[in-house]
Amino acid sequence: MVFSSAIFLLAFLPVFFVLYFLTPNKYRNYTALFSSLFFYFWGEPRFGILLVASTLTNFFIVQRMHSAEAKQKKVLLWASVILNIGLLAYFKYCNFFIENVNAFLQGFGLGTLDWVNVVLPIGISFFTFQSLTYTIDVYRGVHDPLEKWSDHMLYITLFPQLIAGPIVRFNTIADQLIERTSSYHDRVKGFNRFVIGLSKKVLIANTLGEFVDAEVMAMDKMDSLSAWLVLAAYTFQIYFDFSGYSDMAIGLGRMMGFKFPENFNNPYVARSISDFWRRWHITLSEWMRDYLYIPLGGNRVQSNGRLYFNLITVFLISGLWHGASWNFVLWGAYHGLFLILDRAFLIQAMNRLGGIPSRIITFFIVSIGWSIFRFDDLSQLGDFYDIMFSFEITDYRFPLDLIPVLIAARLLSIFTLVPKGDDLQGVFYGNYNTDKKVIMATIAALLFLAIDIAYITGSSFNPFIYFRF
Amino acid sequence: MRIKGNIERILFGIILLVLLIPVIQSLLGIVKEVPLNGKVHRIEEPSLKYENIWNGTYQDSLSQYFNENFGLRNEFIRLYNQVRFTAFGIMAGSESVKGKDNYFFQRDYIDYYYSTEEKSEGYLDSVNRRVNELVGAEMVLAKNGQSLLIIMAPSKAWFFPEKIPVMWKPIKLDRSLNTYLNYQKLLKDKDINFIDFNDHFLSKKDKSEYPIFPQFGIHWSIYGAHLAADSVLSFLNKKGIDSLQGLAVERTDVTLDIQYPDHDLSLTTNLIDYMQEPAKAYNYLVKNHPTSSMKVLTIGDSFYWQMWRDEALRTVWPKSEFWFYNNRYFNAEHWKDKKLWHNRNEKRERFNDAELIIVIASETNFDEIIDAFVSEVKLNN
Repeated sequence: MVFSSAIFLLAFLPVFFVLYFLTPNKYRNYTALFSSLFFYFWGEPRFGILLVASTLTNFFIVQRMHSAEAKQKKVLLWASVILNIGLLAYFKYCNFFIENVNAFLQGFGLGTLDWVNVVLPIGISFFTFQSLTYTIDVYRGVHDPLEKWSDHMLYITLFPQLIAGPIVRFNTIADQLIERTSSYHDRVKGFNRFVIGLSKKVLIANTLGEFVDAEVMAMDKMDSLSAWLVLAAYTFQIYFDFSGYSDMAIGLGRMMGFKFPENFNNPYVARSISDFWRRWHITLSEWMRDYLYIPLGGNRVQSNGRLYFNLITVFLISGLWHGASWNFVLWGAYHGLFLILDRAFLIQAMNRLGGIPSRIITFFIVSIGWSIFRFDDLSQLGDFYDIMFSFEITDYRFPLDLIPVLIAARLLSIFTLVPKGDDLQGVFYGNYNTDKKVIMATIAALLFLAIDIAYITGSSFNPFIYFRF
Repeated sequence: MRIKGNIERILFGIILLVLLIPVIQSLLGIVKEVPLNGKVHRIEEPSLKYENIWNGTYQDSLSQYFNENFGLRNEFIRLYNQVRFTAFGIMAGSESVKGKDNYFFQRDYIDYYYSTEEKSEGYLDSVNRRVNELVGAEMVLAKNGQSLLIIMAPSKAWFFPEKIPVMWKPIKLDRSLNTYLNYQKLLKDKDINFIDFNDHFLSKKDKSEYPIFPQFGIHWSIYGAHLAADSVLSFLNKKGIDSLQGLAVERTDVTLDIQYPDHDLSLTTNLIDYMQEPAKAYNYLVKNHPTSSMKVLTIGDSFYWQMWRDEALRTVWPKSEFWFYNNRYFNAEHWKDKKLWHNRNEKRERFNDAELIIVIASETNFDEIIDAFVSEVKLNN
C-alpha cells in the first residue's frame, strides 16, 4: 500500500486514526503494531512472515546479548549483524551476484550457474538498517533494549517509516516507544506536514516522473533539449519523491506522538558535495557515519590515503545499498570521488568562487550523478550522454505542465536562500502558533489534499522510486 | 494570540471527517453523483480467494477497484481535469489538444497536418500503390456495373491552422510525405470520382453562414456535413450516377441545444465548469423528401456519420448501408443496431449488390480505409 493511493488515504488512514485515538494511551502501541503489520502484509503477504520472524529473532538475540558476558556479547552481536546483513544480502544482492558470476563464467566459455531469481521484499533496506541500529545501540550501551517484543516489533514495523524511511535510530525513538503523548497540536500539525509531503510527491514528483519515463522509453526520438530537460526533471523528481515521502512519514509519526528525525535540508542549495551529503537522506548519511565510517577510523586516521579509502568504501557501500546494479556502484563511486576531491582542494576552490557559482556547480555535479542513478543499463546511459552533448534540437513539444512544474520545483528547492526563506520553511514545517495561522494552514492542507486525491485518482501514473529499496 | 486547545480539537475533527466523507458517501450515497462522460473500462470488484490474497493480486485489484468506486470519485476526476485545464491548458485524455481561443483538436489531426506522425519506410511508394489499386478497383467495379466515389473528409487542423498551439509546429516543417497533399495530387490526376472536402471546406471557410467546423468537436459540424452531403448528391447527379440533385432543406434551426458529436471533445473534458458550445445550426429536410432507390454502400470512418445519419443521406437513400471501418455494418432502416455479417458470403453478397460504393475517410484514416476497401474488392472478385 503506498501513501499516495486512494485506498490508503480514504480507507486505511481514517480507520487507523479512529482506532488509534480511541484506544487508551497505554494500549496504543498494540493498535499501531496491528495496523503496521496489516499495512505491510497488505503489500507483501509472503514476506510479512519473514519480517515478523526476523524481527522476533533479532529481539531475542539482543535481549540475550544485553545480559551476556563480554565474549558472548560479541558473538551475539555478530549473530544479529549476520542475520540482518544476511537477509539483505540474500534478497537484495544474490541475483546481482549470480548474474555477474555467470557473465564471468560465460566470458571464459564455461557453463553457468542455475538460479531462480529471488524477489525483493519491500522496504528491506530500511528495516534491516533500523534493526542493526537497535542491536548496535544496545551493544554500545547507548540505550537499554526494549522489554516487550511488541514494542520492538512496533519500532521495526511502524508503518509511517517502514517502507522508505527516514531511518529512525533506536536511541532517538526508544523512550517514545515506551511513553508518548499525541496532543491535538501534534495531530493537526502532523497532518499538515503529511499533506505537504503528499503534494510534493503527487503534484511535482509524479508529474516530472511521467515525463522522464516517457522520454526514456522513446529515447530514439530524444533530442538534446529533451535530454537536458529529462536530467533536470529527474533531479527534481527524485528529490520531491523522496523528501515528500519523508515529510509524510514525519507528519504521520507526529500525529501518533513520535518525533522522527528530519531527512532532508534543502540539498539543492549545497555548496559542495560534502555539504550535499549533510542535507540529503540525512538519516542514511548519519547511519553510515556512525556505523561504518567511524568504525573504519573516520577522519581520525594517520594518512590521507586511509581517509580517502574510508570515504570511497562508505560511498561504494552506500551506492550498493541503493540498488543491486553496477550503475548504483558507479554512482556511489562518483560521489565518493567528489568527497575525496573536496578534502583535497575542491571545498577551498568552491569557497573562493563564492555562494552562487559554488551552488550552481554543485547542483550540476549532483544532477549528472542522478543520470547515473537513473539508468540501470550503462550503455543506455552512454547513449543518453551522446544525445545530451550533441546539442541537436529537433523538436520542442513537451507536456504543457512540464515547464511550470520544473520552475516550481526549482523555486521550492532553493527558496531558503532568499531573505525570510528559512522563516517560510519553518511555516511549512509547523512553526506557527496562533489560531489564525493554524486555521489557515489546515484549510490550505485540506485544499491541497483534495487536489492530491484528484491527481491520484485522475492519473494512473503513481510509482514511488525508493520502493525498491 | 496563543492557540487554544479547542481550535485544534475542532480542526482535527474536521480533518477526520474530511477523510471519512468519501467512504461515508460510498456507503450511504448521501449526495447524488453525476456520471462522467465518455466510456471507461470499469474494473470488477475482485473476489476474495486465499491464493489471491497470498500472491497479492487481490490487494492490487481491490486498490484499483477502490480507486474507481470511492464516494465522490467523479467530482475528484472533474477537479483533476479542471486544475490541469485551467492552470496548464491540458485536456483530459492524451488525444485531445486545447488550441488557441479554446478551439479543441484531436491530436492525430495536428500530427498529420504537420506530417509529424510516424511513417513507415517507403510511404510514398505505398501511397502510389494505393492510388493505382483504387484505379484498378474502379475498373473492376465498373465491369460489374458498380460506381465508385472516393471522398477525402476535411481535417480540422487544415481548417483552423491558426488555432493550433505554436509548440506543435515542428522546427523543420517537411511536407514531402504529407498524407493529404500526396493523395490529393495523385487522385486529382487520375480519372476517378474523387471529392476533396478538405480543399472544398477551406474555400468556404469565411463564406459559410454557419460554422462548418465546430469549436469543440473532432469532425465537421453536423451543418457542415449536411452541406457536404448536398455536394455529394450534386456531384453524383452531374456524373449521371444518381437522380437526386441535392438535399431540399425546409428550415435551419440555430440553437444552443447542441447535438452530438458537435461537442464531443468538450464532453470528454469532464470539467467542473462545463464549457458551453456556441449555438449551432441544424438543417431539417422538407417533408416527403424525394428519395433514391439506389443501393449505396459506404466504407468509411466516423466522418460519414454526420453525412448519413439524421436528415441527410440516410433519409434520401433508404437502401444504403454504412460499413464502419469495414468492421461492422449499419443499414439505413435500423441504423442504431450495429450488425456483423454472418459469414464471408453474406459480406460478398452485400458488397456485390451495391450500385454505388463510397469510400470516405479523413486524412488520419485514409490509408487504412483504402486498404480495407481494396481488400474487399479483391476478396469479392
